[in-house]
Amino acid sequence: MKQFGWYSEKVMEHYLHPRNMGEIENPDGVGLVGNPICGDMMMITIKVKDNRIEDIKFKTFGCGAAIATSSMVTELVKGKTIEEALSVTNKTVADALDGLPPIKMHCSLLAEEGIKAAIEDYRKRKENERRGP
Amino acid sequence: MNEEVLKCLKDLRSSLAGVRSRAAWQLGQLGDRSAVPALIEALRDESEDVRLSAAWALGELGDEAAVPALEEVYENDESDEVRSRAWESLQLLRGKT
Repeated sequence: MKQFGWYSEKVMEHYLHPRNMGEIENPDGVGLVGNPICGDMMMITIKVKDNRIEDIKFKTFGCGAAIATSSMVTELVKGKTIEEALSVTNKTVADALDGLPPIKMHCSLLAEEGIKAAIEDYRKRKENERRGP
Repeated sequence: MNEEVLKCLKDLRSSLAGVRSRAAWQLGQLGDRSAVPALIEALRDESEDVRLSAAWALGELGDEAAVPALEEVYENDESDEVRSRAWESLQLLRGKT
């Protein structure tokens, strides 16, 4: 496996060519998470259809590892059911990137929490719709 | 209290540390001092990130009511980062008196 200093080739690939970057208009769920220690801020927007994540986009202000983990987590959960998406952990993300330096593992935790926050928001919206005005 | 502040106050009670941390930070940006009691409570959060954001936000909001809580954090928090941030916020707040 080719390495770029501390980073795997996959981390570099996702950092240089991030997938699913941007923001969905009229999303079904929004996840906003941040880590003040390194200044990373992440927004994940999702569209859900028939209990599946039909579309997902991210906007991340942060280091290269934060961008790579955001990109990877969107790839991992796109097309998956809500339950499958909730089972994605920071280790799943880090493993899919062929590993992260220990000091950057918190970036993968942010990606995991970003998805969970978007799903939490989606569920709250559904619950509010069900209850009505 | 505007909607954004209300949303952040709700987010401070999320089960996800990243959500709470981001909400605390945002409350510091929004400048609404009615968030001070919730942020003081967040100084005791189990997550270092959340305590760090809350300590920073309390400095930004500039309400001297936060001084005793920040002093306690400065003296007792287990995290160097959080204690350091509490000290910086205390300097900001004491500069106001």
